[in-house]
Amino acid sequence: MGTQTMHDTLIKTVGLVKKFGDKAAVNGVNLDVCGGEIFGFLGPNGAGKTTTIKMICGLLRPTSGTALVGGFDIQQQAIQAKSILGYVPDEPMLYDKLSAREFLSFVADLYNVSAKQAERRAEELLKLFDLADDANNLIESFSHGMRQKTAIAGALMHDPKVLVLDEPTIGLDPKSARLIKDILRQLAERGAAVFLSTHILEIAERMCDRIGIIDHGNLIAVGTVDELRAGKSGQSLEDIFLALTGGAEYAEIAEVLA
Amino acid sequence: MLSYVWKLLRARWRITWNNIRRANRRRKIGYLFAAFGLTVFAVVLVVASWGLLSLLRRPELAQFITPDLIRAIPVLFTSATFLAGLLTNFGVLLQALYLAGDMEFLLAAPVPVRAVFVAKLIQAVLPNFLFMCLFNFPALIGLGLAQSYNITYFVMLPVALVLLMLAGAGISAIGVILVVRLVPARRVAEVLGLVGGVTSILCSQSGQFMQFSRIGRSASSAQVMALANTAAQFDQPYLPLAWPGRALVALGEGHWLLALLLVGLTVVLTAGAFGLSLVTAERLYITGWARTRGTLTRKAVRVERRRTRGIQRLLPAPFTALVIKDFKLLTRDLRNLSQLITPIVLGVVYTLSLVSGTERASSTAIGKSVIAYGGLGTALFVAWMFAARLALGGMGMEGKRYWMLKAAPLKAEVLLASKFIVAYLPALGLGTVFLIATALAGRQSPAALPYNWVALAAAIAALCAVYLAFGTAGANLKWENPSQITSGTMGCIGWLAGSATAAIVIAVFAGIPLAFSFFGLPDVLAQFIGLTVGLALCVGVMTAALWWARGRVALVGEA
Repeated sequence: MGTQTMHDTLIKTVGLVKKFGDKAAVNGVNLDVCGGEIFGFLGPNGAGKTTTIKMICGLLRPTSGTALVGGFDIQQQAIQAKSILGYVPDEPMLYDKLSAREFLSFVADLYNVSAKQAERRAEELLKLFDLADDANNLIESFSHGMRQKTAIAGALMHDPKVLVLDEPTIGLDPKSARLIKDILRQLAERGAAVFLSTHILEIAERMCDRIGIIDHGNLIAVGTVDELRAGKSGQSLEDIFLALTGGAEYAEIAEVLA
Repeated sequence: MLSYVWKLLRARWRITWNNIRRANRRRKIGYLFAAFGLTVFAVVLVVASWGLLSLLRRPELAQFITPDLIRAIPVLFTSATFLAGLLTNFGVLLQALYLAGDMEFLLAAPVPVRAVFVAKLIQAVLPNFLFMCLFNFPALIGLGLAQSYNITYFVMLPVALVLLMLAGAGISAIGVILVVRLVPARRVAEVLGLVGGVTSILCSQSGQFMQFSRIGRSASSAQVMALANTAAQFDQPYLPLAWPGRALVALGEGHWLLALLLVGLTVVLTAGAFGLSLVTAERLYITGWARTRGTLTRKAVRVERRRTRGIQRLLPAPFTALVIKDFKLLTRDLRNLSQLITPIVLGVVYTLSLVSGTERASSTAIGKSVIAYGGLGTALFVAWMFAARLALGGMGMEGKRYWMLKAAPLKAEVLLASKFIVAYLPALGLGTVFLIATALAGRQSPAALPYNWVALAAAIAALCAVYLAFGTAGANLKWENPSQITSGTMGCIGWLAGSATAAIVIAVFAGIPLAFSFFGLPDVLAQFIGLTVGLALCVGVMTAALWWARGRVALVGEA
């Protein structure tokens, strides 16, 4: 890892397929994300975003294809790959009977962070996410937003080179959402690869260096916003998204209902 | 309001019907068999109670079974129905009224709060009520047939049972609403789980306790009949609890005026109790529920210094982190503690049982051997239940939080080792306590204690490995209820495998010394051979089980 440069490919999927019975939830996804890049992963509900993310993080075994994190196969070289990976799911279920501080300490130990560094880092993250006053309270007393922030803090404890987030800003107040965006940008500037899925196209448009759009398990578009516009100036990401995923016709129905 | 209640109940019925309709073929066949079996059971119960009660009316038994006693039977049943509705429904009503996942949806809809309350109450108590009716209803029908009661008895019977259940549940609901205003609903649920677990195990062992206290050891038939007739003393006209049962008897015997009075009083009382709960619900339920939606009372935990760093220099950090985390979760969640109390209570009962037999058996050489190695059996029994609970559910208890472990750079061996230790250490600790207690209480020779302890340690290790293996293979991470942690098939097979392991291991560790003692051979030699064979067996079982489990870890959490 030490020899990798800023723009090395840190996330790579090759022919990633996941089938549940006869249904292909993900159908041959090929993408790569370099260090220093924030990659936005968009798609309609049920398109295969979460399934793709879970395969990248090693939570699901692909039916076929490979996912590489930092050059390591997430299935065959799981320990090495996961050591540099931080993951935040869309619904972060945490240990209710641990306090926030205990949870961060636990995560630090899982990732073999040294004791001194773990303590320092936990204090920094708790302060950063405004959780310092509640650090010794059980997570069961936290609101959804607080849990989300705790989960993100946990993913950052070991200073990951690759960060994968599934809908990270859901349930966060504007201040916290802005904080997350700033943190992700800083991480990318330090050479990390950030892979995030979101439904909020404005976030994707403003934050992401490149965007991938998945629909019905197929990656139908990848590129910068300008590349996706392909010469049609003035089009927003929302227009592009709806044109690609076939949602434009629903605007007529929405007009009728209104 | 009734239309809304009907709509809500209809939606619940549709959900239940969908679950049945969309079940796989094996489950559908199971449902059919269950329905058939329950019907047969009810019919058998009717016939049995009819026959039994007809028998009790025979003249030759009249001196023992008075007519008053037979008339008191409906009173006993109806009283039991009300009290059961009052006591047993507290937990289910707590869950239904405050911890159900659809409450926000229902309360945001234009549905009267009363309707939501009534629908939730009926949904919650219906399973318990139907279960009670499975016994009450056929028994009381049998009584009516035996007593040749008229048709009004049979018509009024279901009405009375429904009214009593609703009244009991209504009062219980008031209790829930009031308690939740003082204590968070989830905390109440945890405490209830602990209290319920302790109570049920104490009740189940009450017979053993009575035996030790010599109560009921040699009760004569006269004493039994006196006790039975005492029950009839509850059938008093001034006791409101007796009115529904007396109303049924009055109807059955054709005393119309008395029946009218008692039925009227019953309806007024039960409807009044239920009405009171409706009024209370409208005033207090929604505000109580809204309070539970806010942030739970902050509960701070003591800040611990990182004392474990000393240990972590010797052991991998992820391993100690997992062990410490699991111990914290087990001790902080009362629902786990309630399940762990059962083996402790059973251990006390069976230890006393063993000790009470010590005096009789200590006169012979083989008797002394039984005493010496019997403590191993008791200690292993207690530790076995602990090990089963902690190991079989070890992986599954992660539940929906397993994603953290799956996404972490965690070797399967480290994860398994941590789960093994979390199950092994408490089981060994508890088993050791019982081993020493049995040895002291039974005044056993200390010569067997070291052997027993080594055997215990090895046996528990083997059991933990077996249960952990099956618990890993059958881990259900989508549970909402802790009882669903291990999936059905693997859970059953795991139990069988663990039981077989326990039987074989105890047969080796205790059987060999006992056999040597029977043939008058030296004890030292017996222990040497027992340990050699037993340890080899345990190591073999452990290795095989954990090797198999290691291959299954990667599959845990796969969709």
